[in-house]
Amino acid sequence: MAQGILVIAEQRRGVMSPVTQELIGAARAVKADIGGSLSVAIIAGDPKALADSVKLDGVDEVLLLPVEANEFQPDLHVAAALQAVEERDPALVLMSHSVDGWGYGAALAVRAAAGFATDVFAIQVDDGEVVAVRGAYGERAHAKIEFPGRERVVLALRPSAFTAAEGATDCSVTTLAVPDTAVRSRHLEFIDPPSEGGVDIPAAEFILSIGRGVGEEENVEEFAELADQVGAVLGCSRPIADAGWLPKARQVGYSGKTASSCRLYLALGISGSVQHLAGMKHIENIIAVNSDANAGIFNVARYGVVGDMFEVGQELRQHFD
Amino acid sequence: MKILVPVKQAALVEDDFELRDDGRDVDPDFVDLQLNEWDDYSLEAALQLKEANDGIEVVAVTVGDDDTEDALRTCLAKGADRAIRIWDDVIADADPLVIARVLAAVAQREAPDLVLAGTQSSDLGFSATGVAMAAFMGWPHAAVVVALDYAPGAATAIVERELEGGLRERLEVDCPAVLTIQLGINTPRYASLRGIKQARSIPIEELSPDELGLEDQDIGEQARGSRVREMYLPDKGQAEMIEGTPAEQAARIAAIVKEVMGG
Amino acid sequence: MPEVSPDMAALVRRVVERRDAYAAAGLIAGNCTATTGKLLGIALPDRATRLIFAGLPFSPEGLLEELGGRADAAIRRRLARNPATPPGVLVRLLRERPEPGLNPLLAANPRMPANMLADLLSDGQEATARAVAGHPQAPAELLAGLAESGGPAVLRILAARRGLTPDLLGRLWLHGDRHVRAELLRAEACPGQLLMAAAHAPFPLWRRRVASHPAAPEGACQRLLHDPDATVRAAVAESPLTPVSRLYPLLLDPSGRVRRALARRRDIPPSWLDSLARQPGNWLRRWVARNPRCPRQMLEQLAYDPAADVRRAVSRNPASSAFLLARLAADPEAWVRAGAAGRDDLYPSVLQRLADDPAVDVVSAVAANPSTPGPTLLALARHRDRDVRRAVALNPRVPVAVLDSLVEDPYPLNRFVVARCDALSATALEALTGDPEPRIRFLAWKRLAELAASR
Repeated sequence: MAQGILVIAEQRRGVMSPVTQELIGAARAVKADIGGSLSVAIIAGDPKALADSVKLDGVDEVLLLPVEANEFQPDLHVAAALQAVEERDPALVLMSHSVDGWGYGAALAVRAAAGFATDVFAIQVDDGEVVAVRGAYGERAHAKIEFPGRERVVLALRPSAFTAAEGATDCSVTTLAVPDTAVRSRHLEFIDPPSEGGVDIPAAEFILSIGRGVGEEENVEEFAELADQVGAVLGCSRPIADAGWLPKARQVGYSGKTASSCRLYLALGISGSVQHLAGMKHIENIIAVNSDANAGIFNVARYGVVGDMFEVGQELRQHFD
Repeated sequence: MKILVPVKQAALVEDDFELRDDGRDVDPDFVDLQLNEWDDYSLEAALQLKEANDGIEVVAVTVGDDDTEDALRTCLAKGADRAIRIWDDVIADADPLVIARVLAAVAQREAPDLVLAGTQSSDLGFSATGVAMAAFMGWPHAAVVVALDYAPGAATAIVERELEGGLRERLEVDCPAVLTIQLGINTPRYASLRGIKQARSIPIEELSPDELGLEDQDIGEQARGSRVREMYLPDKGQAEMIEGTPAEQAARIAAIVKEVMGG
Repeated sequence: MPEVSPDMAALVRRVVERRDAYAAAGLIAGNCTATTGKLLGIALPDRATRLIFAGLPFSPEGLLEELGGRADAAIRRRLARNPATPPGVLVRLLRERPEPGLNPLLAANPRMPANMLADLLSDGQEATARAVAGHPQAPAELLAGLAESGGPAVLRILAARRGLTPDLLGRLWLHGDRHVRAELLRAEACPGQLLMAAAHAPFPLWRRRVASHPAAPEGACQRLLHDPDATVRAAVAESPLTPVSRLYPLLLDPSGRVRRALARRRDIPPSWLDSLARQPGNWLRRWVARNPRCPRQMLEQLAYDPAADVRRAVSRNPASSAFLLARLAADPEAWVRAGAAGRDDLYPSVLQRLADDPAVDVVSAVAANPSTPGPTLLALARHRDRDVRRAVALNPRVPVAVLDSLVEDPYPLNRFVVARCDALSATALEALTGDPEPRIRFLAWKRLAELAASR
């Protein structure tokens, strides 16, 4: 009978990703209900160098799985994870719902004949059975997912949804040999995002975006100034670019251009067309200001303000030099 | 050569919706169906390869009931050569692993040189089907591809994956392979009106899992990696409404800006 | 006007044949009164479609009335929210005494008749009270009652109402906290002695409100010009009522915010603009370069500014000459060239040259420019970039033939823009009746029905 929890740590360029701490935190929270021990597997060229960073409260054992690649490689990642699964026979495997996670999680689940759910933001244990909670239809609904007939479940957890584990602990470290595996893709290089130059909506971390509510061209300058004041990159919706008031490079959702690095999105006077939402609805912190309480943008926003974008903008500038 | 493009007729749920009577999904009356956004990009990547090289056949495939035929018609209207639809009631409410198993069987039958799938679906967003399909087929795979350099018949493709924070990774993948395509890799075309008309008369191949040699143990209840126990509406509406006068609202926004962005 | 206008009976016949819900809804919206029953049947074939039309702000009244007669809870919610729902339907929904959650939606609908609001308010819900407090036609006595009994949120909504009466303002001042009072200081009805007192208040927000008030007493303004808080001085600088002669001290104000506010004023002397343009900070020069009062000589200097945003501002300044625009049309920065390309007073030869610019922002501006000649627009209507083609459709002087050529544009949004153009021919509308996009078909059928009805 499978027992215990296996966390698959995530690292890149020799640095442990912060999500790993959250995976351990999530594991610790359900450890008593699942039963058994908590192992953390590090798959890397030199896993030993990263071992200390995962010796956190609740961890019983660190598994080192050395592979012939420093960076993420799906064949090796699956082979190593399978090896750890075979050795420890966990009931629950936790991994990150991240770009690298998307690159191997489903393959691991298939190969391990495990139950599988992704983008999980809460885990419940009902009578010993794992139930995962995830969003559906752009978070309009939540779904409880069950895994009937599965002895083992692989869950890819949403980053920032679980409390990170803290507190160092002393635990055993074991090295497991990864079986010889055909490597069918090779990392060539990382390409860092360009640091500056031109308008770059995909690279912007904070975007202040304006829509039709701005009314006329002269007013656009006022919000361009506000964006400068608050330290945001100015973005816009299609009607503003169509009117020639701002360049198309600033149009969020233009030609599939998504605000992919954005942490905070302040939408002023944007009602929220499908195209625009496609470019920004994934952002964690969206603040929408719109005079129409029924505007679609409020369905994707974390914070909503029903009000006049000029009045709110005018007051907002008082808080920044 | 042949490129297989698995697509999904994705469900767009309206703002104000109700759940199905069994509580496991949204009431279909509140759903608008359209081709998954990511599949616009994977199909476009396939069509661009087809246009740049001679002798490439693009085959779109979906797993779904009658209502999903429109997704395939859209692909045909844009320039896909053929379309295949697989269905059997036993697949209703299937999870991504079962869908991937069916798609792998289609791939076995079609023997493509490349599979281009969307990175995720816009409705349920599992980000799983393409990579699971590769696992069932035993093929190499790369996920979240934003640049593709591939010559038909070549032993490898050079691709770029989009990682967190705008970072990219360039890598070489052995072919044949399954690549999951990310938004922004290209500018998807819209079907011309003539293409839409022509697509209406192109027959869609309809197959059952049985005809693909799949058995109940491959696609039935026990093959599912997961099942929805229940769906429910989140406790409160999505947005936390910031009340007050404009000055009070702005003060709160300023506080959020400072909290999230620091400083 | 098209030569042949369509025949209503023939339109109806065709819609009945096609059984297209959006076509039927379009005919109803286009004042087709014949066989409405049959059309309604086609427009509302199933619950999914009924739900859609109940929520669409462009649904025709006839359809919404039909929906009001047989609404389930989800349809009722959508009708209650829809600003197109006729007052009669809203009243009917209220009379049916439905689920309590509907009342706030009904009260917030601007078409809800004012005489029903008291009835709604009697439900005792806070959400309903808020909606009534914000209803544009709410009767004075209801508002007065809300000012006496309402919580902080209700008082805020009341204070934000336009056209506050002195009576309501008085009640709100009495019951409101300092944030409510700050809102009241914006009201036209705010008495002079309140404003005078507020000019001495310890809250910068209050003083800022006084500085912006059109009826601020003379003494208050004089005082606020020297206010220690920069946000207050900026409000003085912005207020169009402050005579410009008084603002001289602000020209060298330590706060950039104050000087930027000054640079935006339309009535300041050229010598001041010159002084501001020499001060550090791109934004000052951006505002000066936008200012229509900016003298020609200064604009010519600013057209060489190292900051592209400043040059862009010059390109959008109505005082910039065609000669200056020609120079900006050759700017290395595309966004500056785009600014010039959008000017209808550009030399025709320059406009023509910009039509071949490599930057899509520039070509789009040419396509939307009313001075662009027809043959150029016809060529741009076939541009490979869909945004350029749409800009042609949005051009107010686009020739009908060019517009008609866009009805087969592969990009649905472009066809939608075309379908809304008044100049479109009946033949082109006819071509759009079979469009794959429901919204476009709706518009095409609606407009054809309107043409038929006007025969």
